[in-house]
Amino acid sequence: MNLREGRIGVREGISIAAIAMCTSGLFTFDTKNTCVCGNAAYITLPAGGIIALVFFIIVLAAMRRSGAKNLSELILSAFGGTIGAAVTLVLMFCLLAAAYSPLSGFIQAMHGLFFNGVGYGKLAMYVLPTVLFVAWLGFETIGRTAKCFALLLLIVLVVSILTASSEFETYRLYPFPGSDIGLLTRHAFSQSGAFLPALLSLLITCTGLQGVHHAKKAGVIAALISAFVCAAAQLAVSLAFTYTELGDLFMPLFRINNLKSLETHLLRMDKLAHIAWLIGGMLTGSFYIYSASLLFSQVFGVRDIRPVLSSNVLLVGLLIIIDFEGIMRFLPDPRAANAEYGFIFIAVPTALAAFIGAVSAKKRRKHS
Amino acid sequence: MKPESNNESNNHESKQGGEGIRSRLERFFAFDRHDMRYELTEREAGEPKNFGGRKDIAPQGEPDFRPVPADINAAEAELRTVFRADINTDVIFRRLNIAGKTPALIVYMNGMASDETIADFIMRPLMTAKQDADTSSEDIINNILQVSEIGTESDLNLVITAITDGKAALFVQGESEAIIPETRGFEKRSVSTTENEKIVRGPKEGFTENLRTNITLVRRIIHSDDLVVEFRPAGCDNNIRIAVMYRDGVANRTLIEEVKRRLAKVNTRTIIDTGMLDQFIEGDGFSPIPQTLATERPDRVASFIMQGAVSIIADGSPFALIMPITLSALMNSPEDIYMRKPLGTLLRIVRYAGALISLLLPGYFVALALYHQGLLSTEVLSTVIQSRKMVFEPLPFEMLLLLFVFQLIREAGMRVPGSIGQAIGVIGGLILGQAAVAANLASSVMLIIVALSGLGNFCVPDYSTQIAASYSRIAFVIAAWLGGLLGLAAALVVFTAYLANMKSFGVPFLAPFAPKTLSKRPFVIRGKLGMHHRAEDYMNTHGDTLPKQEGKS
Repeated sequence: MNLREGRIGVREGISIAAIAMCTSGLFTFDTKNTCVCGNAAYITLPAGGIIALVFFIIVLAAMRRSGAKNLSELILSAFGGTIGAAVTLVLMFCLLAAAYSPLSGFIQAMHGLFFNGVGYGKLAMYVLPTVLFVAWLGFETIGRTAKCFALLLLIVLVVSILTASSEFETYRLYPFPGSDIGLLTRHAFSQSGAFLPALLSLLITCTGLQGVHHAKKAGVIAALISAFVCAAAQLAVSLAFTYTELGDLFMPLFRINNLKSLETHLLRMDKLAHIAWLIGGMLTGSFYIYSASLLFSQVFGVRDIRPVLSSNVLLVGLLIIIDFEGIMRFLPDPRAANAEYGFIFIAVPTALAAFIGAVSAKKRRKHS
Repeated sequence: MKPESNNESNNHESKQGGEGIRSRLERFFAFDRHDMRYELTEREAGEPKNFGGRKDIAPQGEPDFRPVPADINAAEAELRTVFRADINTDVIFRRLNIAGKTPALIVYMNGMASDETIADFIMRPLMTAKQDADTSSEDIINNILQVSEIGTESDLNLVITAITDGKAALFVQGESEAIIPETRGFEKRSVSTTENEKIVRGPKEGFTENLRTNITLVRRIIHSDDLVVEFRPAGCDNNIRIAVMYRDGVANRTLIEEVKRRLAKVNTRTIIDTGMLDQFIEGDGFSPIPQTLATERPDRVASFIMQGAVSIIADGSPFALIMPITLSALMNSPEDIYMRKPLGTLLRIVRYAGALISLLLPGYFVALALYHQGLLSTEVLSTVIQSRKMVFEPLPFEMLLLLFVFQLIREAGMRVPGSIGQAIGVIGGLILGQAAVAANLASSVMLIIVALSGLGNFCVPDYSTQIAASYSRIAFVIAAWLGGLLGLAAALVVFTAYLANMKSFGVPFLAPFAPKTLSKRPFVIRGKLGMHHRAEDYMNTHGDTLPKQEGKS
């Protein structure tokens, strides 16, 4: 078997999960929907993080109960071969969609901020081979590379917020979106879709994380860190722009650096922050694509992960090109759809697997 | 190693005649084959539980046993044939009678063995021994010969190796083993200061080309009974001897076995320096970044051995190899530890900053000047435009040209004698730079960038790493040329992932940072000396802590 799992520690697990969750949380949500009646992102994002964390802990408990070493074992023990394969395909496509969202977002932002005359396909030719290379080297490398960049990304985020802090105004928080709890709850569930893929990936890569216990530790810490970071960043964005402005902004986090004139500075923070977080996006893409490929390989008995990885990267690349070239315009925007409903496709099959797996394990114990 | 089922399917295919393409493709892409790499830190805490796989390599072939003839005439005839004595006149064959009665033969290499030792402490006692003295090998060793290091050998192949190594071989009539006294006495360079790893504070001695001297230099620092020196042939036709040094009971046993296993697979014609040996035992031969540390400093070798590392010293090479290593080992200088903590830390920060500048600055500048002029302030941008006004070649080409010229000056400076080399550096840097700007071949801003990058490169203490960094920055420039900051970011991720994936004898190259090991010792910032009494966690040493000194509170 050549699944390239390797062994990583909790810190590397935290790093990759936190980068993935922050990248998804900060750059993939649909501002139009989220800011429809006041900027709810700084409330709903951390709430979504907590919902995802609770879900993650429940699935882990089910895994422990059923004795499954990773998610693929849980799925197979719960559903058996045929349905398990179908569920695996659903989860795999969810993870690929989760990889596609930040990558396509960053490519679009690259096109807007840096390379106006360059097509998306050409920009993708820089991003996708890098994603494939990192994923190809395996989970161990993904984790360690993430550990190398985690602090850098945090510093960039903090500096970005601090640079723009003089432009913050509290009146921009108006109206407080808390008046409609139902809408907030719905948004919180939608936002959990930003955190679920990373946590799901941790469940898939449990073996590489040296067991369920370590995966739980990494997932809980990463989710809490990400929820805090996302809340802080979104609060900063909310203090910088009104919700009506936010509805039209794409990746508003980068725009807060433009509020202050930095002509005299050697470095323009917005673009550098974008490049730094593009690295985060590439690592996130590698992590999700690797996890999707690993799940597929484990369930379908593929003995070498590399052909699966290559196919999945190609699939994401095709999706990016199809989306940007407008070939399938009649379909809904895949990024918006993923942000809005992605969590359902991850949560429902995984929750079912956890429930059935735990119940069948209990039955097995009774019989034995 | 392929799983059985797969082999079966291959066999099945071969029977069907469709074997060729699939098995060839599988072999080419190594599908379904685990990356069989040796792992030292499979798990973060404690001893590694499993060590992954090992590459299946046939061990170095052992030569057949050749008995030493009991008849000295037969022994002489055989050795004369082996050493081509009819044309090879520097092999000395000296016949004598021990105690005036037992015929014997001494064979040695002229110039390699000491004539004085042979004449005064071997031949004279043998020839002046009492008539009634017993002349068996054991009695000769115990009662007659006056040499401190002496042994016997019954394999003629090993006797020949000993003779080529500078020892003498004494054959006694009727004895089926040769007596091998230590007689080496060839000319050698005396111990002098290091050439390439100069430091301001700390020991100045460097290794020489003599194996014994080098071992002594290390032993002078490590007065420890657990320091083991294992001698073995290097596995080459020129029969170079190497010494594997480690602390028995401290160095991880599997690491030692792995080093020996890799040494055992060496099978080549010539090994002259440890640099050649290194290429046979490192894991990834195509990696630009070294996986062992080559040093000419005994104090550095001693420091690593104390930490549980293994060192290899070869006869004829003034460089010792240390393994396993990490990026921090390549970036640290022994001086860091000899200076006070704040100064050592500052030096390290400057060094890491220098390395980053060396790697990224040229590419970053090309990306900004070529694609993202908006990121530069108006003042800087106008200066760049002004300085490049008359330069005819494209900006990235200019950068690559200057980097090439820089490498040229550096290479030329290193190949010529000391003072002239320095002069070449000054001439190249000042005069050539001035002339290039005047001739509109290069802009002054670009010269500054290349000079800064070059200076940063010299901050890297290890020579191989310096070269790796200087060529890697060219890759970064090309990436920035092609894709601006996007290309640079992609190259940076690829480079970091490559480093994160690298392992030196099973130890992750970026340890103790990624993976973060149990060691409390910081990566860049130099920790307290107190922290050093515990070995690095990633070395997985047996005795994790060194014995506390008496009287220490």
